[in-house]
Order: sequence, then structure tokens, then C-alpha cells
Amino acid sequence: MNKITTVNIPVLTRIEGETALHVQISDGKIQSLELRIYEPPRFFEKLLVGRGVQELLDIVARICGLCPVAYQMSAVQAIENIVGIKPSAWVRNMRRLFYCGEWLQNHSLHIHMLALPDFLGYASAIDMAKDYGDEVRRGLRLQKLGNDLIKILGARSVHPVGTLVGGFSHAPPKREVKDLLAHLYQGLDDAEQLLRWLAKLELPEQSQKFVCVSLSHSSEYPMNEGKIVSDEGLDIEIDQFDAHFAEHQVSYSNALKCLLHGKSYLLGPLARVNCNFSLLPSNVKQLVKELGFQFPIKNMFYSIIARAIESMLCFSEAIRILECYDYPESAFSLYETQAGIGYGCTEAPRGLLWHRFELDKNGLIQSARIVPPTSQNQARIEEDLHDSLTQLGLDKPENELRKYSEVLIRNYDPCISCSTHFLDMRVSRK
Amino acid sequence: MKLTRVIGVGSPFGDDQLGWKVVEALSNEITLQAYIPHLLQLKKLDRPGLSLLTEFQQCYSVILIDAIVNDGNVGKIYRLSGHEIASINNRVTSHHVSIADALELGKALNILPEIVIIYGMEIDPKHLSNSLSEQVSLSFGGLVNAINQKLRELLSHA
Repeated sequence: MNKITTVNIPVLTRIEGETALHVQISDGKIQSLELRIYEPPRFFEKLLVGRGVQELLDIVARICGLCPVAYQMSAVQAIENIVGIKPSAWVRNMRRLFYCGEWLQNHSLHIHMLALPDFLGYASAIDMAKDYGDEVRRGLRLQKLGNDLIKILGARSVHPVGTLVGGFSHAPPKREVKDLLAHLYQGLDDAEQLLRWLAKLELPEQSQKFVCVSLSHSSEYPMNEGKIVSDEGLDIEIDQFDAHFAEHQVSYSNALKCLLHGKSYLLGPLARVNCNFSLLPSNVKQLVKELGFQFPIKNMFYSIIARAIESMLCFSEAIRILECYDYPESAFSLYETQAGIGYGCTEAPRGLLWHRFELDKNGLIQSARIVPPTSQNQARIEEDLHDSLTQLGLDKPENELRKYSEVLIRNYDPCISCSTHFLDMRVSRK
Repeated sequence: MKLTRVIGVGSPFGDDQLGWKVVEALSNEITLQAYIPHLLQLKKLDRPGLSLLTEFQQCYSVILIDAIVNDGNVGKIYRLSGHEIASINNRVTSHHVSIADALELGKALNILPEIVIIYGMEIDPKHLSNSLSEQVSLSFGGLVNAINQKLRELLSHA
């Protein structure tokens, strides 16, 4: 007689949106595993139809409280492709700086509030802070500097407002830049110490086969622009996305699943480092090698290391950009509205964020498509859970399965937007 | 010198703007003008999350003002301090990045000011307009007066 076990995690909190995990096990094998994203559809793509481009930038910033810069950067790139603007060197640099702020803010939050309590055996960052006060204080300093970088261009760190088609609404005064730069040197030192400290963590050893996808740029670590590549040879322009990637709906989830040539793939910091290690600044590469890491790494638990590496990258880049800062004649370029279709694709903290917009001759949006990293990683998370839970042992107690699933899902950087607890998991065994 | 910082948490809409409106009202209080900015600083924040802790630097006392959704008694004024703050949770404050969490973390890191007080008022979360709801407006003056009185007490020892 078959033994059927159903692992039901009705609410996955501390991740962006509302999600549950349902696993059915029979005869020692997983028969079905469903990451059920049941957050109601938000219809942002329909909401945008008929809106002007500046409204677009304000609206897309509201899609995610943690990565509004990414949404603005992908959208502005798509619109600039339609109206034919090539951003000035100053604008290009400032957008990279803007992105550095968002990555820093997201990565430091994830490392210290989500991942580290897992790896160090604490229920929460608050509990961890009692024993690791200096480390958590350092994490808060890193996060604050990320916020400061966003604020200097976007006026505020949550849902910033400075982005315009063609540039920014204002340029930071040199005095503000000088003050911020002084703190960034300390931030780089903090980020280096963080990476050195994390390198001592004993992370679970595992290796899985998966495809890594990211942007790739000929001369810099990708943030704001590039081609879409994979570590299995994909190399395409962003407007070729639909020829290789396909979204589809599954009955148990409100998020569209996206596959590359019919298969799952990984986005985010680990995928970026795997695909772009050679483009990291020399100081970062040198430290990574000194600490004994050899990329590519196909172990999702090393995502925390990838985030720390990218944190160092962000400080190095922000310092490089601001040490040469000049107050521009204008912070933006003027443009003339025109009809057309444009594509944007940038690297949100959690990976590729792809946009497609169609404008009419009055500059109003006729259609919008947004493919966020969360839906792109969904299939990979399910595969990872399938393989990892099988490897762990499906006969383990409920609490152990739940905890392992939580830790594993957190490797993909769930947002901490709303919750203080994690899984409410029930197991029924027949 | 003992610095007091008053932080209104909110947004520009509906009853959620309560914290900001209170800060605006306090900034117009004639009796407080002599203390600003060396002994008293007033600030408005939008979903500060953990960065709330950076606002506590160099402060002897902090007063936080936030809109609260609790028992549905719109206009009810709350005052929480010390251990009472730990008892609030995500369901109590309308800002779901919890102020209580930030304070708990600050406590664990030993970086909280000597005095932390939260003033709040039960709001109507369904009231979506540019102004405060009628019930919140009726209680608004009482909340401002209570905070003003507390500030004068704190500032007299500054």
C-alpha cells in the first residue's frame, strides 16, 4: 500500500507577496511540488495603459517597495529606446550609482535580516543581534549607505522620485557628494570585513545542475544595460527575449512561470557572479580568490557570498563614480514624443527585470509587459526544493522539512516587506 | 544638552497622514520655537523600517507618532513607552514594516535613546481623501496638546 504524505505550507511569509508550498510525497518520492503564489494579480500592466511616460516611472516604482530603482531603470530604458535618447555619460554614471544604492540596500537587508539568522541558528535578526551586535550594526551601516545613495538622486529611498526620461530631475550638489563619498570609504572597508567574516561560515555543501542567466556587458559588471546571456551559451539582445523565454500560467499560482527553452533557470546575485566574475573590480576579485572561492559555484547557499561580493562591488563602483563627480550643465536631456515599441532590461537585486512598452504618437502607453525576477526564478525554486528535500530525506519530521524549505527559499532573496514570522506548515500523513 | 527628536511616521494620504500633520502642528507651536533645532528636532518619515534606528543617533529622547489600526475605535489616542512598546505587533500599526521590530532590534543592539515614547491614534484605514477623517480631526487637537505637554516636560530638563 502506498504511503502518501502531504506537506502543506499554507503561508510563506517574509517573501515578497503571498505564497504557499504544497508537497505531496508517495512511496518515498515527491509526486508533486507546487510553489503557490496566491497573491491576487495586481494588474499593473493594464493600469499603465493610457498613461504618459512620467506617470509610468512613478507607477512602476510602486510595484516593489524594495527595488523601485530597478523598475524605474528598466522602464526608462525602454522609453528612451522608443524616443531615441542616448543618455549622457553623466546620466549613465548616475544611474549606475543609483543602482549601486539599491543593490546595497537589498543585499545588506537580506544578508543580515534573512540569511544570517538561518545560518547562525537564530529565530530572527533581533535574537542574533544580542550575540552579534557589531556585525548587525555593520549591516545597518551598509544598508543606510545604500539608502543614502538612492536618496541623493531620488530624494527618498522608498519609491524615489528623481528619475526622468533623459536623466534625473536634479543633480546632487558637489558638497553633498563629497560628504557621502567620505562615508563610502568606510562602507567599502565594512563590506570587505563582511565578506571576510562570511567566508568563515560553514554553508551546506551541495551542487545542483542549473542554468544561470544574467545581463552581460563588454566592459563592466552588468547593472543597467547589456545583452542577455547564460552560462550555457545564450547570447541575445534584450528585444529577442520572447524568442527564447516563454511565460506560462499554471493552475496553482497567480504568477506566470517563465522558462528558457522550456527549462528553468536561475537569476540573481549568484547567477550574475557566475556569469560575470571576470568583470568584477580587481580589488574584489583579488579578495574572492584570497578567500578561496572558485566561481562558478552551483550551490544556492552561496548566494549570501555572492551578495557580499556584489556589496563590495557597489562600494567600489560608487567611489569610482563619485571621485570623478562633476556638476553637469543639465541633469537630463529633452526629447520629443514618438510612437513605437521599446524594450528595457536591467539587473534588479534579484535578477533580470524585463520590460516592453508600446507608445502611441502622443506618448501614451498602448501596451505594457513586465517580467519580474520572481516569476522567472519560480520554476528553479521548485526544482531546487524537489532535489534538496529528496536529498535531505523525505521521511524527516515536519519541522525539519519546513525549516529546510524556509532556508532554501530564502536563498532566492525573498523580500521582508511585511512579516515577522515565516512558515505556518502542516503535514498530514496518510 | 539633551536632544529630543519628534518623528511623525506617515504618508500624504487619508488618515495615514496623522503623524505628519502632528509634526506640522508642533512646528507651529510658539512655545517650542526657542528649542528648535538645538534641543528639539521635528521630522516626518515615510516607512522608515530599520533606518528608523539611524534617526535615534545623538538623541536623549525620541517621540514617535504613528497612525494605528487596532480595535476600530477611530480617534482613540494611544501612548506607549518602555515595555509597552514590545507588546505592539504588525497588526497594531498601519505601517507593516514594524516600528516595534526596529525598536526591538535597537534594544538588542543597545542603541535606543534613554526615553522612547510612541503616540498614536486609531485611524479609519478606509478613509481615502486628502484630509483627515472627521473622528481623527476631532481628536487631533488632544493628541497635539498631549505631545506638546510632554515635550515641555522633557525640554525643561534639557
